[in-house]
Amino acid sequence: MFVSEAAAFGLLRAFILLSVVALVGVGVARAFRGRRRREGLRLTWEFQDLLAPCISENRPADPESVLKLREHPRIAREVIASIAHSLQGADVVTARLIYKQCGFLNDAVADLRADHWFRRAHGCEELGDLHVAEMVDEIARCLKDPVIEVRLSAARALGTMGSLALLKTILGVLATPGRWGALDTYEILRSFGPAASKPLLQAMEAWSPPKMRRMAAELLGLMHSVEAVPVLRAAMKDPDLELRTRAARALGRIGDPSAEPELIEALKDPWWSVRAASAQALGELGSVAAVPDIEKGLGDRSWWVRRNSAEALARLGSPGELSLKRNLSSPDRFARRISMHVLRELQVRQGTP
Amino acid sequence: MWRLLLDIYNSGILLYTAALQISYLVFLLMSFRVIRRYIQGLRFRNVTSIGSLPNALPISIVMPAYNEELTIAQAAMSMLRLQYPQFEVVLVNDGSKDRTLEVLIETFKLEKVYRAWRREVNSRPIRGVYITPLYPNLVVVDKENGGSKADAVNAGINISKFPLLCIVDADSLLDQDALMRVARLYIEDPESTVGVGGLVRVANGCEIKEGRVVKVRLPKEPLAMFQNVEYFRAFLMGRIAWSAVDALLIISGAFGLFRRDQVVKVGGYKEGVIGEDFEIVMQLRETLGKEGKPCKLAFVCDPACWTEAPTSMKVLGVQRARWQRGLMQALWAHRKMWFNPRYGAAGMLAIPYMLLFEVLGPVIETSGLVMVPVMLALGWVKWPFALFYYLLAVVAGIFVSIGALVLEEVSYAKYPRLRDILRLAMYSVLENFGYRQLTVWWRLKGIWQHLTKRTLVWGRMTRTGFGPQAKTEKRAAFVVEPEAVKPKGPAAPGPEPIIILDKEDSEKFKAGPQNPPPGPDEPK
Repeated sequence: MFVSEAAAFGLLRAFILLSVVALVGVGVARAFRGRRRREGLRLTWEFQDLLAPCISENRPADPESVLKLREHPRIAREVIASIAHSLQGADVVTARLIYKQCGFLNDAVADLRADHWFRRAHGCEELGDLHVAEMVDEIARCLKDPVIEVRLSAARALGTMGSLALLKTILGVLATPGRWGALDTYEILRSFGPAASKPLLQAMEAWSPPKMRRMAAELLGLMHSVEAVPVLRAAMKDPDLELRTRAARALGRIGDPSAEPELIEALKDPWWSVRAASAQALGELGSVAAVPDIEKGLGDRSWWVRRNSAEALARLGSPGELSLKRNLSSPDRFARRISMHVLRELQVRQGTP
Repeated sequence: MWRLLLDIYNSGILLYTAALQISYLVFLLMSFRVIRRYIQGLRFRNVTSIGSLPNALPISIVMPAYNEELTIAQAAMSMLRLQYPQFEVVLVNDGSKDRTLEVLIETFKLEKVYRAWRREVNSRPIRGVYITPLYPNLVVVDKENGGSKADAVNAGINISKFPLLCIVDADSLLDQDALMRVARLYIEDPESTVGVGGLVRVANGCEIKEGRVVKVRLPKEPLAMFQNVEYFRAFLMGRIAWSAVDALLIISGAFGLFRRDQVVKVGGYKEGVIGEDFEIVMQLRETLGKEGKPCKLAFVCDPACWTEAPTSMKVLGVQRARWQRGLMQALWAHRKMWFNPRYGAAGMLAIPYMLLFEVLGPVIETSGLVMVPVMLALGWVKWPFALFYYLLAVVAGIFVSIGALVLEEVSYAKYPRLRDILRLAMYSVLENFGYRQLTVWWRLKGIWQHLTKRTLVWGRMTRTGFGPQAKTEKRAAFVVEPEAVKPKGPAAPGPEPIIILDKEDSEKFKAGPQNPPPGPDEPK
């Protein structure tokens, strides 16, 4: 055959050598990792002690400290940013001042323009924590980055800095990758607080892209924004069925009884998802007046509508329970069965026989 | 002529072995890249924040159980303690012969309730549905034994109500944040993600308290150690690499998350199929591929599911033979996908790879292992050739196993003690001398059973349970019951007609023009 002794032994040697190198590498990496972690912790504590008096007295760092911080820029930057992240007001200004004093701002700007996505995302994160207002445009540029982590990091940074003017842009960009955007935007919006309602309401306007409108409806619900109720009520008549569904859910979450007429009307919607969401929302609103309308849903052709209607009735206390009991003898066996199902569950949950 | 044939054979097995080892090396390199990117990305994706968000997609955990009286209460409790905003645990008692149901009734104070449910996929009759006032998200389904996990899962699917399904084994323990980590992919790409698999690790030897792995330790039994090394290779290398090119064909039955509407669309899990986890993925790929719809089946490398590895040779042998048969059965059932560009990398890359290295592998490897020494003894080949062949088969195998170990170490480093790493390294070497050859033999038996359509011997598991009591009692063992044989053949219908407990939806829930099929966004 074509195999020589030298090739066989060469291969043997190569594999054994590589295996030994890999194993030794594991041992060395483990030892090195432990050492690096310990060293990192030591420096972090040292820098925190160094910065604590400056932050509490709102004064810049002394030249000696600046030199020390500059010796380990990676750790120093992280420590200053994490301190700023947990601070507010004048203390953040001091942290930012020290950051600039050490010349780290240039490094962060360089990070924003780096080729590797990790550095770009990291730069956004740090600048956001430090509320570097003059970098807002640079960070906003990262909202269009091809890597989602950079976009999320930039959006979070702008959220932390409270750049309300850019909120609509954030929504638009984050709406692209799917629901993850909605979830993350919710987190970002929490940092804006109630002030975010206004841009969200703007995003609900008819000329906004459908995805953005749906996301805005959902977010307004999650934020329990009472001022959004009129817009959401109007959205219940929108031709976009997904928007109607989300608006119904949002109205349920907000819990404003003025939305009752629209939700009752939506129980007759041709789409099952809107009917189901509206029934659920009426249950959440505690709308006793809607019992007869919800009751009709017990015989709906969609299982989800039947179930949500029955559960909504179960939430409405005794009028709802009475309605369910009444349906135990309904000529419609589907209404009968779902009523039996929910009533029995209710009994078990309440511990009644 | 004889000499030429011999040369062709020798070149063939050498090239085959070289190709196999090269493929492993490619997987290794790809996995390094993917894991590194994933871990870096986690820094900017607050995965656990999903736990505090009110609009994360709710999940139904379906857990089939058959004769699990010792572990079932703990397993159910472990699932109920998972961190996720909204989920339900649908525990299916598949007609257990022991006290599984009684244990559940006693532990959770279950009460039988009437349930109006949709019969969307086929399953054997449901005898009752139980709920408890103690845990509003626990539902126990008692059904007649269907002889397969698929049937039990289908019953759970019918009862489940949420848009995502998490299928877990009754002997699996999940990390607390496992649901959040797998659900992340759906949240990120809800339109095209159909299924997500998680990492499966060996629980033997670990310290388990209240259904949670609190200390990661290596198994004491050599057989479980070998499987541990094997799991590293399979999950940290193979699945990550296939997932990276969107050609993943297996989502482990021990822990997988699926979109409920898509599973229902393909008719749920197929009864009478041996490898139901492989089959469902193939079915999803084929159905969605045929319709030209996106079908992303992914693997997430960090949510861990801990499972008990068999410690008896006999049971392991039966398990491996069964896996081989399941693989061959599913590949044959979906032969339309072979070399079919419509199914993308799955059809053009993963399936040919499976056919060449997983189906034919045992045959070619055995022929090499047997023929090379014979040919050497007869003087038909020279010893450098034999040495070269064994080096490729064994030493390269060692290198790949150690590579997987390095991957584990640089990524998750779950084993904190240095001696654990040394033990793993030792077993990475040792497994190439005997264990691997044994697995090849078991797989060969699986091929033989598949070709001769032998009756499947389905192992029954008798456990002592996870946790401290497991140390004092005899360690968990699988017991093979030769007479417990079901189902027979690939598409054996149930012996009795399927009885529908509540037929309401088959009559009334006929999707009209205004009734779109339930999707991931369907309301609660």
